[in-house]
Amino acid sequence: MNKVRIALTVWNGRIAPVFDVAGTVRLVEVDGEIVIDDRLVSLPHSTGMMRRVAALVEENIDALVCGAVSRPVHRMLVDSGIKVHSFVSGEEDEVLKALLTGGLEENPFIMPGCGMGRNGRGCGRGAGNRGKGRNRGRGFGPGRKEV
Amino acid sequence: MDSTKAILESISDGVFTVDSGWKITSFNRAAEEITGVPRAEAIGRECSEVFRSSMCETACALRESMSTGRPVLCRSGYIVDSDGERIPVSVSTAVLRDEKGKVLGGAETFRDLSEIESLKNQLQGRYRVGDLASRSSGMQKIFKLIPAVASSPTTVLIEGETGTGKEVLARAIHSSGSRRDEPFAALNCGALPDALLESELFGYRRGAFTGATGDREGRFIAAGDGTLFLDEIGDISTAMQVKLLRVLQERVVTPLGSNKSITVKARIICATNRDLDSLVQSGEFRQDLFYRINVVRLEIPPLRERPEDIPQLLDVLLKKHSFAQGVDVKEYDPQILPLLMGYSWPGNVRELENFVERAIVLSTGVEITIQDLPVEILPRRNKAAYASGTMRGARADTERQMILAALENNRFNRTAAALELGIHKTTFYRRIKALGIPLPESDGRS
Repeated sequence: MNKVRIALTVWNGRIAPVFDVAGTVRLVEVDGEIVIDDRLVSLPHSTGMMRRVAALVEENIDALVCGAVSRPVHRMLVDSGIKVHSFVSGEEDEVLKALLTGGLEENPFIMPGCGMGRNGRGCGRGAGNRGKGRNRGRGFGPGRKEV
Repeated sequence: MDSTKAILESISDGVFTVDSGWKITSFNRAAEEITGVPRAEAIGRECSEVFRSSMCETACALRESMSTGRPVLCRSGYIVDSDGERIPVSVSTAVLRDEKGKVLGGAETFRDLSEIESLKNQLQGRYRVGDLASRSSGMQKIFKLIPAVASSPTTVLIEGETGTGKEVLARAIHSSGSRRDEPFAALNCGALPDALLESELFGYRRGAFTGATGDREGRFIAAGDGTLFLDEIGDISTAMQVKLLRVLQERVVTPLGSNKSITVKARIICATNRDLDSLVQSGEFRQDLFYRINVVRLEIPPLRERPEDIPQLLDVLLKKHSFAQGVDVKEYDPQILPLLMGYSWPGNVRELENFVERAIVLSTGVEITIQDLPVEILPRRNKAAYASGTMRGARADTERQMILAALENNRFNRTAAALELGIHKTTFYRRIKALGIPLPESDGRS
């Protein structure tokens, strides 16, 4: 038995663009690649980020798949013991399938601007060149030092 | 066409266009810079997944423009860029049509507000010192004095009503000067009887009195090279005043039960909510001690004398308590401002802070409205009207107050009260009965 509880923030059949304001979570429990439970839960808008994270912790989830997420919230999620797959985009069913088969890091599921492939740059995946302009190079990982 | 493209590339506002299926069709240079998404990756992707804004799910300006056909101007929100940074933006949208008026898609322009936000914060800084926030001229005078006072070792006397923030000011002085890394010790002198106050201030040695089982250092010593804040200094006894004067004059303390004096290095800040001048005149406060502590005197005006500070204080306190309670920062309905600014705030900033904390806990919506105001803040004559929310309620309350006032004016003589109100005695009795006003036994005739 290898049961895992996964949460996906969804909107219009796709992964919701921003976790910080996402209104709906799809909770899926899988055993291997078999879906045992699949339901929608609403995350009310205008509640604090701590409550938002606490709501997921209460659901006892192991992993979260979401779109863009701001850094403090990402940190809260990780500190709560949740494995976070952030800056993910695409049809929710395809994303779920990719997660279960190990293909989530493939290009079609990575949000634009978040790098190409496994060793790409940024958006919660680590270091590297962050494009141009203001504040670039400040990812979650040991990014380029600002000058 | 090329010149339009050149213009779009040169402006500092981000611009993108979408087709009717919400896919990005163009993305200018500024849009690349603000979002951190290269144009090549943005073109052809869902706009919500490129723009990643707080508005996409519930308040998309582009969707509104596309459905109403009208532009939306300057809607505020934030985007989450490729680095996970929230960037405040203001967006404007319009519909794109072909020559025949058929909708081709939409255009969105957005402006990075982070620099404006940071300038705003710098500007706010002019009105803030430590945890004190104020725009009023009275407080600005104090703010200007703080750097000079903080850099000198002189004794400071802070006067102000209860809840005006005397300790907050003392902490601001402490943290603005070179002593900021040293201890800040505070003691409320009014709360302690003499014997306890003495041992708290000066400390004691083991065996100095029954129960003194070990050595204890007093606050004068605990403050080290930092600051000792003595609150309610106007409430200490004459005997304690003498002892305190000696310490301030000689800068040494002798712990109880010890014959060894220890040098006091801490700066002393005293505070009181009483009028020390009149206490000196009435002989309750020693004149020599008064002169010793009255070197630099700062008087914090009560909140009712600076209602212009209320909006800023509200913002600061809403942020502070929303954060403490782990909720999104609440807004307030601008309609409550005149009521808050018109209230006398006898408990000053502390009372305002308590109101904010209570309102954050109790209000169910995203903003604090008139319904969340405690009854004492509502205008007296409108309490019933607000409570019942009806014209009838407001009229009954006004009638009740007028009848009670007339009765009191005429020592509960009903005939005289009716005469004063200009109504017949029978009508007067009918209204008293209808409004359920209790009448005393005495009728003012005897």
